[in-house]
Amino acid sequence: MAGGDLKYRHLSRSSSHRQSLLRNLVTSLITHESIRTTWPKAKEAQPVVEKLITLGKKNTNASRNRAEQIFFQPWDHLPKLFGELRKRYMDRPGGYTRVLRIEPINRNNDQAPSAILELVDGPRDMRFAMTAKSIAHERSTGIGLRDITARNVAKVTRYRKNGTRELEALVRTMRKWKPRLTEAWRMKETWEEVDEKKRREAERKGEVWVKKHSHGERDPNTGRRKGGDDPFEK
Amino acid sequence: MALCQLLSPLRVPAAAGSATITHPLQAATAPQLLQQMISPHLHTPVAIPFALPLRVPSILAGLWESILRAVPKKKTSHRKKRQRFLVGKALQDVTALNKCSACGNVKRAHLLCPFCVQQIRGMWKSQARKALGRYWGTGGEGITS
Ligand SMILES: [Zn+2]
Repeated sequence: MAGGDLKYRHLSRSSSHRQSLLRNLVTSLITHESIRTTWPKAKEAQPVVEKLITLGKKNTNASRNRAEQIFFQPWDHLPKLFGELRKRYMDRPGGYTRVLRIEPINRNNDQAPSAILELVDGPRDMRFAMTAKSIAHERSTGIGLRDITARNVAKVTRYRKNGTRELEALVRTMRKWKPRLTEAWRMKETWEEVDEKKRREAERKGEVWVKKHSHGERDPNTGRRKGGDDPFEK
Repeated sequence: MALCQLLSPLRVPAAAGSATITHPLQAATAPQLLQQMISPHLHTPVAIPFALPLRVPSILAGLWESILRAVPKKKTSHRKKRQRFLVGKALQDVTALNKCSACGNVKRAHLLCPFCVQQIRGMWKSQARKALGRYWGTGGEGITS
């Protein structure tokens, strides 16, 4: 950037303007648990929230005074920070927020890259909900739980109170949802899914499935496929 | 040798398409014509024969070549100008796509599926509305009575 090595994004604002913006974003996040904004703003607000929640977990007079300075209406938000959020994140060693990229909010305006900034393990945890939806979808298609979904399940239930039970309940509600039939829905499965199915089938039989290339095995020395890789080579 | 030198300026209008010498008869007569046209002080091969039959005075000849002829005939149209300026600024194709694990639609890689996000946010919204209804009672009767 022209301004040299920047430590933070200026967001095209003066210092005071930026400070106010971040304080507003943080307040919105604490009240609503999940907010949609542009991706750079979300990334800038993220450390502010993390530090604020750390203050909440410390729960000392000093931390109370510092937290009071961040909120515009501390009387509205301090009880939640030092009550509910403090309790929720007691066991979690940092990482209380999550930024997920979404399609631009202003579809017909500036198409700015957008994101969801959310409090982890809260009632509006988008990854938690998406994981539940993935489980519901994968059960309905009969593929079974994919590896990446299994990893997400472990992630979203790790520090959540009654996480597994809540997830199961959400999956059950989502299985009742009607699928949105689009062209893509009727599309053939992807090659990754075909491979995954074959791998699972072999696993069930107690075999090890190795991906075979239709164009022949790769030569370990040259990295090229033996025969058929390049039709013009022969 | 002399013929070669004579022919070389001829190739310029021939290439431009103004005086084609594809026919053998034309090719035979063209050098003679040219010899008459070209004045002795103009030996550069860029001389175009059609400029000279007008018999422009020698003082104006330089002006004719440099200024009067190098003028666009028409104003560049808006469309042409925009086309020129917008070269290479077209939108890129989105090729980073994959399948949503939660609904099966095609979605952009590293971005959440917009359909699923919409559905989940709708669920939260209806839940919030229900919770609010429970809080206020039905139709606000709880407050009045
Ligand atoms: Zn989806």
